[in-house]
Amino acid sequence: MTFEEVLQNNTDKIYRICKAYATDPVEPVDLFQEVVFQIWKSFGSFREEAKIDTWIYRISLNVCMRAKLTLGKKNEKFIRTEAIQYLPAEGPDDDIEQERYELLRACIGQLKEPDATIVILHLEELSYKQIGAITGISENHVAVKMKRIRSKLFDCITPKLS
Amino acid sequence: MLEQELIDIWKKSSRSGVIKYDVSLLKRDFKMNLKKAERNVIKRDRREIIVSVLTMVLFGYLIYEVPFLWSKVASVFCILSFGYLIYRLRVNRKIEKPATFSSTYRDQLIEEELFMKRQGHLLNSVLYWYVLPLLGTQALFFWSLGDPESVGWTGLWAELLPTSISQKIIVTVGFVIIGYYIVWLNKMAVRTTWDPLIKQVQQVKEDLNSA
Repeated sequence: MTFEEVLQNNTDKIYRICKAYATDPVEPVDLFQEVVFQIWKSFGSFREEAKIDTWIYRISLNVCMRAKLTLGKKNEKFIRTEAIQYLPAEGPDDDIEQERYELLRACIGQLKEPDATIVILHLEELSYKQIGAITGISENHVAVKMKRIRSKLFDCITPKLS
Repeated sequence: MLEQELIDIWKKSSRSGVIKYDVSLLKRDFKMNLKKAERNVIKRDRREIIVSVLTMVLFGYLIYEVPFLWSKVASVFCILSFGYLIYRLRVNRKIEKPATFSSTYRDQLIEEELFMKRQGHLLNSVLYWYVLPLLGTQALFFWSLGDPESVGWTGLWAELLPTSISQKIIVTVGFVIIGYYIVWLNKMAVRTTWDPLIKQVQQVKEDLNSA
């Protein structure tokens, strides 16, 4: 599999993660550029010990987590390239979807940092085993955590969506 | 039902816009960024080497110029401590940020915490590896300077260097103030930057491990 194919097949999922983690003044596309840069840098050393999906999610989450931690540090710079552009979609349907997404994002934002990470991976429809392989905790631990996180998330989002 | 609805909302979020990229341009930019970073490292190394060589040459010359034994000895120590400082800066720089983002989230947190703790320790110990060696050797150098006339020492350096008690006190106090300021700045950086980050990472690790 080439870098181009990896990028093409994973653009949406990388962008979703970046969008969830981006906090002003960092734009999702800034994080996206940084994630893609790190994937490109590490691509030569990818040995398929992990599945490509797991590898992509690990890099995306780790880059976003680093960015969140070091946000505001003056020496923390993102890679700059004009080769990536984000073109926002237009239309009434997208506005509604966007509003619903923002509600969901706000509820995820209320969770503790690792819980938010786990729920993001769950919303990506990954199995508990895959989530465990990405986060470094056991499948059972993920299951226990998800039970609690699901309840918190539902309590937050249900009144907002209805 | 709600869960599937949330998954749909989540999945549709990437459709709120389109990411466009040109892979060949992207690769070119990435390569340029790497080269730029490498060039910056070379420039920084060159700057350090020039400054250290100039300082060593200056103190090397002072060994020859200054007629007082302990000032000569201090000049040798100055050269050695400056060499040590350059060595430490280079060793310290090797404490790089975790570079492999492909480890698990938990391992990444462990690596980040380790890196931050090392940075904090480095700044907290600046008194011992930076300030004291330079301050000590400078003090020995200046306080070993005697009366130029008593040994028939003349010339530019005999006039420039502080040879009277009051001049020596002023220079020493100046060095102490600068040294104190450097230590204070570094400790402040630890308190305001690294300590909160370390606490944050430890909290995330704790939350990840809890059920």
